[in-house]
Amino acid sequence: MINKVVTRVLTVALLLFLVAGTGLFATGSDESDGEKPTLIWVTSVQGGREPEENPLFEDEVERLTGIRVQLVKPPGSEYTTKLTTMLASGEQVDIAYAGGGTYVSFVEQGLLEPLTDRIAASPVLSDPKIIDPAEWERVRSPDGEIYGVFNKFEQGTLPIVRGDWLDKLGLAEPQTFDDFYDVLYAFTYDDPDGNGIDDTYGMAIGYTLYDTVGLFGAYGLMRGWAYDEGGEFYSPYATDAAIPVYEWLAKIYADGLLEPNFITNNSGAFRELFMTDKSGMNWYWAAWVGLYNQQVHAEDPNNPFEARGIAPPEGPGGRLLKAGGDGFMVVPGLSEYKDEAFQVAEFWHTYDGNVISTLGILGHDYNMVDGKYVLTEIGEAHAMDHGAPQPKSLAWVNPFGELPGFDEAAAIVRDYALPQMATAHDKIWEDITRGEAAKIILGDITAAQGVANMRARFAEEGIGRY
Amino acid sequence: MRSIGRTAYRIRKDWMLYLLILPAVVYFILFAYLPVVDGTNISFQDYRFVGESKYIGFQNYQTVFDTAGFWRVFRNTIILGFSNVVLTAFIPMFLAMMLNEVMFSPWKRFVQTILYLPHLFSWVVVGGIWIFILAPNGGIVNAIRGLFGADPVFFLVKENLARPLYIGINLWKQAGYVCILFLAAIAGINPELYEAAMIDGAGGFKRAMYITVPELLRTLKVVLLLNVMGALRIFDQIYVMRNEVVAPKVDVLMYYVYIRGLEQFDLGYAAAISVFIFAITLVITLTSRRLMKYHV
Repeated sequence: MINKVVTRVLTVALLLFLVAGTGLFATGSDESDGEKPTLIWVTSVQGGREPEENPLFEDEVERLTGIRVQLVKPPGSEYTTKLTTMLASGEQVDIAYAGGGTYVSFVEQGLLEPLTDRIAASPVLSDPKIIDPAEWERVRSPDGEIYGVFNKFEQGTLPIVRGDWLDKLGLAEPQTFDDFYDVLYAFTYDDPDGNGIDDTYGMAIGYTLYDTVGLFGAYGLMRGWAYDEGGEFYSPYATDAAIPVYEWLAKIYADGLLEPNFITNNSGAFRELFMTDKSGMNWYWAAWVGLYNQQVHAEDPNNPFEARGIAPPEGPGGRLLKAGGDGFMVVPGLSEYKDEAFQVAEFWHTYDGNVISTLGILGHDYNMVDGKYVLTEIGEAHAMDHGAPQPKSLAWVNPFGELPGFDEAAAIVRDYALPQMATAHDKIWEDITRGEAAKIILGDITAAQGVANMRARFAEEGIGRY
Repeated sequence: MRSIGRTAYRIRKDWMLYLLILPAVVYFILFAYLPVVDGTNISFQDYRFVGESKYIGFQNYQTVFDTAGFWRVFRNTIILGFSNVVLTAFIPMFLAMMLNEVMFSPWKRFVQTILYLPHLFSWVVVGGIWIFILAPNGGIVNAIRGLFGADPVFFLVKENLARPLYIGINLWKQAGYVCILFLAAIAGINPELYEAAMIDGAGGFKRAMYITVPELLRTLKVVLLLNVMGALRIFDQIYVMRNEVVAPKVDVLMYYVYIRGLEQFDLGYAAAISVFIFAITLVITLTSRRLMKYHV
């Protein structure tokens, strides 16, 4: 009897489950009820600094634009996978952030809505006082269309040193490879932190080569892929011209000047080493010069720590740094709310858009007191970064000024940086180049063998002229 | 005709049970079988996310088999996968037999817990732990080596150590779980068999060889078969622990599929490899079942 009752209860539950699954009880979409649509905004950079801040960010966007958005922020390491899966499965995505190779691949796949006409008609985005028209030309695709709106001014990466260590050890800012070697040597062996213990390294980096572009740039070599005279891909880092740079890196590793975890370090690891007196140099974004200074002094205002951006070494090829790869706000072709999505991208470059992308949310990150911006404690901790710490808009002036050291670092980037070409083969480039470079630096193979291996492995993958 | 009638009778008789099993059947059709069909279809296309995808016959398969990188990855998968199959079956069995001889219960439970604990961690945690343990700067192993004056070694980027390390770490993570399966099987062995053997003068080694091992064969078959089915599907460990230096030695098929499909958007190519993995796994599993006489 009990068995019969249990079976019937389970059966009824099952039927309810199946009926619910068919959507017979669904109430219809927001729009059919006459409500405003909610745009799905998939991003890894814009929005709240903490997940719980995202709803506040969404409300703030609605307050300023009248458009309701819902942020979807997959973890950074899985971002591309998640976004691709959403697009491939036809899930609703109305605005998405896409950077570098991802953007190029999306364009090649025909996933994105061309925004050329909308940009030309936009009083904000077509205003040369806001965005330099040459920038739009730079990102125009071979088919003549523009598929994305810039997210921010992408700055670039440069060598960042402990300025206070340079001063303390009586060293000038290095200019050549030999100077860089001497500075790194002193940072390693001359006890720059004065604690009497041999616990410092000259330089700490991550992901093997990370943003040491300036070293290769001294020989005129740009990171990633380039086109040769025949119009075929090749990797400048896999040419014989790069051999002296690998040999220099191998020497600083062998001499103990390069922090040994350089292959497995992530950016958080080498930043931590830099901020805790364990390394005197790293290669990173110009914005981080200011952030390093702000974060260390927020902990201890009396700390003599000074992060300083410096020019890369000068070599036979002059000086060259990498400008940040463009990141774009894109509108998928399948979005039902393309006009609203574009309005959000346009808003991002208005004054209010610049405020939310930097300072953050009114009443949460900042308040207006007597017509002046005042950061809250949370706003201070968020360091004026809610997706675009340096907006692309030429009209933007941060009411708080920039963080200490940033302006000087940004000037160096402006002087020497060029953007890396984004391609769909960037991941393979990273894998092969970094793998062989690491073996060279560790001393397992010679630099000549390493670059030959790179070329052989590119050939194995059938990429470029190899 | 008669058998159809019998089946219809059974369904009528136990219709509620068949209804209850329906969600599971629907689930497998939707999320296991249909994707296989869809993936196979994509593998014959120059697939595009938007717009028309052209059918290109076996071209994706041709490209896969002509790419040297694919065969390197396939070789890695076979080496890592089948080392895992064997080691994570026999070593836990051996450990379980040893543990079973421990008479002091608190110690036995303690060792069991220590062995089982790594299984509870995700690969992200396990990878982080081992990257920390083996790091040249600040890693525990190198700190101990340093006490004896040895130079630090960057274990995780040594090509010759990569496969043994990855196999060993996988064993460290999985051994405890499999060991518990064997311990449960040992607990089910009739104690009278041991008593009779002892009366006949059999020592510990003979009891293990002639009673415990044969009694564990059924569990061993299950463990081996489960391991075989997962052999070509290694992914998490590689995704978390690989670095570019050891990549040529440890990159596996599933990682290759992930990179080609979701990072490079070459879905037709990735689908062709997926179908290949599916086919090979099916063949190996069926062959293993036959060789092991699984149902005997």
